[in-house]
Amino acid sequence: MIDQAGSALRPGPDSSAGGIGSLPRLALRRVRDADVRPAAAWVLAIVFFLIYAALQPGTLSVGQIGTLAGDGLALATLALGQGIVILTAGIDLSVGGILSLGTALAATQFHGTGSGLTWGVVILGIGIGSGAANGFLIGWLGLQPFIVTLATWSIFDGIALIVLPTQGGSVPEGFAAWIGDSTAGLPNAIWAFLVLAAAWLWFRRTRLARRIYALGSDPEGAKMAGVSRTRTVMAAYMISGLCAAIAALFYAMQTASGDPTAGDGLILPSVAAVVIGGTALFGGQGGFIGTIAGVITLTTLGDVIFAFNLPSYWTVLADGLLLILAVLAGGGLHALQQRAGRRSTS
Amino acid sequence: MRHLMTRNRPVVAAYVLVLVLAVVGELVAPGFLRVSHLDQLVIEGSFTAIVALGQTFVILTGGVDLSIPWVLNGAAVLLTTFAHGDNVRMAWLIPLLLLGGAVIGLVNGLGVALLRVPPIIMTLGMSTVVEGGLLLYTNGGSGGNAPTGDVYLATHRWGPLPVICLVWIAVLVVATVALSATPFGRRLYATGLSRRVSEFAGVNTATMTVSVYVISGVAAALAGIVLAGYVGQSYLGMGDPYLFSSVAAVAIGGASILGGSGNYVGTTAGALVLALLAAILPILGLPQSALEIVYGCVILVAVSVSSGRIGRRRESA
Repeated sequence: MIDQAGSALRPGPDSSAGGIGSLPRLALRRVRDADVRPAAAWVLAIVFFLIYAALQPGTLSVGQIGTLAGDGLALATLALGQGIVILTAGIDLSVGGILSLGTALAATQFHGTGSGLTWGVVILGIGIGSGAANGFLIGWLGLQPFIVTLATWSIFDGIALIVLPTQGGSVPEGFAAWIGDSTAGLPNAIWAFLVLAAAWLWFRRTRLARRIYALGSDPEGAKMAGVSRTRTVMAAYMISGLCAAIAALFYAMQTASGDPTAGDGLILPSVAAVVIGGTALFGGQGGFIGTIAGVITLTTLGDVIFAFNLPSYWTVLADGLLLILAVLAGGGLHALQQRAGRRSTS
Repeated sequence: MRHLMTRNRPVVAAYVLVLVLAVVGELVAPGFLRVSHLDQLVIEGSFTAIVALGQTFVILTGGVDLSIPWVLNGAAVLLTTFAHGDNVRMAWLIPLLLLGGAVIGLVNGLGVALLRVPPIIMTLGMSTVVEGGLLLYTNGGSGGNAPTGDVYLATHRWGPLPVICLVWIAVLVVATVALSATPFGRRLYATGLSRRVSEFAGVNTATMTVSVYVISGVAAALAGIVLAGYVGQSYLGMGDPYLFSSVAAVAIGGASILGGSGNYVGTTAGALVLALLAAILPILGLPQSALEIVYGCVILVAVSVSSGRIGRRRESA
């Protein structure tokens, strides 16, 4: 039983398609496409949200949802990039370091509109550049994603501590206020969520996205179909670096100050949101729509804990447990689906 | 013989690096190599060396243990809060804390071996669970002072050698014998090289995987105990540097991140290199946080070099 579940966790040419003719393989792929995991994630997210709404009257107003969106925005942006990297069967631990450095720079260098714009561009450039470095080492030299991004995480953490040795600094008031303001009757944080979702829906249709999915689900096949591993991997990590830099700006807005270790605590949630959202750690399956459900789950979880008057430290513990449970549940659901699919085709 | 040389070349290179850094230290700060300062270096290096023991075993099987910092921190905090400065209480707490580390390692190992959770995810999740538990227990505060016996263990000398240095040497001997001269060691390398082939050869790879995480949990708890003695107290976040430093020590020591090659003699050199760098950087006027940058760069260089070497060996084979 355990062994079956284990092998089904690695859907690749070996386990799903090996030795089966092309027609059943197509059918199997269709079953796999109708993945139940993102749907399950949305059910979970809605349940959490309703619990929160029941505990905290007034949650269902636009303003309150806007506040929640503001709380989850940095995580959602981080998880968008993390999810794209995980689709290539990689992982990006360096997002924590980039976020720390980004908030440290924002809190020390943003003094007005001019310096804010200049340094904002610098922060985004650092994100893309570090993603390119990760992508080069992983894609070109073929190094392990976790060790490369662990090393770059350490490097960016060190730089962040030099820029801003302790928590503090401040960002201009107008910059920090944006996340709480509204445009055309809708809170800006909700607009930002909509833009992230729209960006994903657009990205999902690009050639790059198709290459990323192909590479993640079947590296050999993708290579034969002419997908350049190096370029695709590099692009994925660059997107992740850019997302981490944008997340740093959102984080600085939300806290109105800087924290050189802010990112360390967000690495696990960024992976957890992706995994809870039904994206497989072994690549090729999932997407940001499920990840949003993961972000909602994690964000409202924190607020539910708060509503129960429990110490906020419960959130940290719960995040860790949720990640492991989500990996197990995702593997289990997938195994059940595969077995159902196999039964229906054979 | 030639085979032995090529296999140990990275280890030899790591020891050459130790010598070079020692000379550099003496050049930039005369008196760097005096005995009292070397003592200091060895003591500070020993904490990395102890956590890197567990990390070496885990990496040999192709895994990684990200839960080390918080297991270390947990042991340190629980020791200082429960012992209340009392040495008798400390005496029975230490075995319990080592057992606690073993249990956390056991859960990590079972998750990786039986439930097939990727090691990064399993140990990252575990790290966060332990962190959360510790935050709840201490309510975010610090953990109190270390008992005198613990301070003795971490800083006292027997003759010319610090006590902790003897612990390090004992660990080095045991780990080296276990890896190079026992069936356990052979099975460990086999598991790291190829899980499937090892299983065909009758190796219970699940047992091997579980045991390396248990070793890592115990080693992290031990490091937490002695580090609390060295610092004289415990505080939250004291384990944070040891994630990067443990991986860096293993990488400098020439172990392959993919598993199956490397040894603790190399990791020992890695820990010495890091201790020397930590001593040289402040002399050069660099802040302590620069050390994290160095850890990261060192990991990247070591891993790039070793992957190039393995690539060449696989091509020539």
